[in-house]
Amino acid sequence: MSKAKFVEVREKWKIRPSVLGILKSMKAVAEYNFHSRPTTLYPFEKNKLPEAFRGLLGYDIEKCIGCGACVLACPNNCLYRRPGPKTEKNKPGIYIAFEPTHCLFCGLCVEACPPVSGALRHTHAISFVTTKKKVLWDPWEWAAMTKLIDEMGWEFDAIDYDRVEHLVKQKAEEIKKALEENATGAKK
Amino acid sequence: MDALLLVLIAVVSTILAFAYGGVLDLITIYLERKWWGKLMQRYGPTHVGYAGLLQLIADFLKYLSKELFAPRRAFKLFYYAIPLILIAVISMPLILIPLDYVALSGIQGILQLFGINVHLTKYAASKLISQAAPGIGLLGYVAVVSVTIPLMYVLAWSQSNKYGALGAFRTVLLLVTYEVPFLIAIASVAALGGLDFYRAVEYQKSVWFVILNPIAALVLFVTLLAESERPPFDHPEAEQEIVHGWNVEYGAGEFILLYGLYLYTKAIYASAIITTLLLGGWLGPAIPGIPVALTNAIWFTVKMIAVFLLFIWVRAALARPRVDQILELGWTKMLALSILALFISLAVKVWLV
Repeated sequence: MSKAKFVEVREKWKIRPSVLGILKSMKAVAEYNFHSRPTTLYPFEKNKLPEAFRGLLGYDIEKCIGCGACVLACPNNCLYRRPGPKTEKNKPGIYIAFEPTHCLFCGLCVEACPPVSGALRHTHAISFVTTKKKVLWDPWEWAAMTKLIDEMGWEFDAIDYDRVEHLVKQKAEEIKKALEENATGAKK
Repeated sequence: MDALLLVLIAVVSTILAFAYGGVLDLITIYLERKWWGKLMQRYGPTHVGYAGLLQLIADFLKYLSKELFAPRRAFKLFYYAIPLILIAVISMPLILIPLDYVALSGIQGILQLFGINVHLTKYAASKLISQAAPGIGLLGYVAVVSVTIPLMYVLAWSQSNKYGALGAFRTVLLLVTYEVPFLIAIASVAALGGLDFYRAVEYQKSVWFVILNPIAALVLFVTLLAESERPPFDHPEAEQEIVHGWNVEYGAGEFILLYGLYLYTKAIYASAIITTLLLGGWLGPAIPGIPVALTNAIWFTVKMIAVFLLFIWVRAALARPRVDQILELGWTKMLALSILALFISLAVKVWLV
């Protein structure tokens, strides 16, 4: 089967040393004027990643229902439950903390996350660099990091966490404040 | 008309021809790198300047900043002198081929756009030469190309490198082989329009010679491709077999002289000769609002670059055959075709008269 295919392709591109062969090869070359290039100018152009690319985990804190299914699914135990303000969506008031330095990027937590919630996803951030031995994100910090990746266009890039840590902390406080304002207790 | 003024204007026109040739060199090398890359699904130069336009200048500066180096066994005098002599010899056709006429005509057209009417083109050095001795332009080019054969031999010997020697011997083989059909093809074109460039262009007012005698055009194209050592006839510098052929030992400024200037000026002469002898030279449809002198320059440049693009296309499409196959093509097929072309153009001449 494969041999037949090979012969077929070879017959198609067989070029004889004659005027016709020269014309055929010139036509074949001219066709490449209308092809797009398979490579990109990487640092200046963004690479196209596949849709199912498993990058750094992203957490949408407003969608989370606090069921804890992801914590049970995680093989590395890098997700933790954390108490927080109770909102209408998140009735038990449980949020997920994340330890990115232990993460396997396996995506089991994303599969485990129920469709009602859909809080977990993979971002397109390729790599995550830090000098610290252990990074443990509180839920708001994790949500802040996810938002920053989307807003600042850090997709496809390596993230130097030591440089952006203050940004994350700042954003995390805003998110926590917004959550406390929306909490069910605060409304009454 | 003072003799002194005549000499002065001739010198100025020569310098203008140099400038025109240099600009064409830059344009064609950039186009070659960019379009050849596109045909190979690469990018070509992208970073220096807009879309890599200044890459060539950056490369030149880089080569010039390198140390001039000679191998221990090389014969230093010839090793350093021959590239300079080659450049001196190969820049002679700049005023034999009407490149200075085109440059002057372009300047005259631009001056006419601003309302200054001067007749510059009659002072072009190539025109003065062709008036004094008609036909010296074309024959002079052939002679200059022949002079490069012994120079190549000396170059190979002075390097004392076997790859350099092989490359130079291949150059000599190619030049000797393709000189014969080249001369006969030129004779067949000259049978139609005379040996003089200016008269040949005048004859093409009604119909281009490429239409009257396509076989001569084919032979002239292939032989000029071979003489300018462009692929698929790049045996002298076959990168994969003999590293870089006759310029293997050279680096720094000498490499620019040999590779950037010598080879590419030869290719530009090839496209200029094809343009003037076969494609109607600077003749072309008038562009409204632009004086004739400027349209002449524009059409000549456009045609030359189009011929050079054809060179690039052939380079991208064809692989390099064996040396014996190339020699066989030259001595049998091209020779036969060139003789056929001579008969065809004689028949056309008789039929037209």
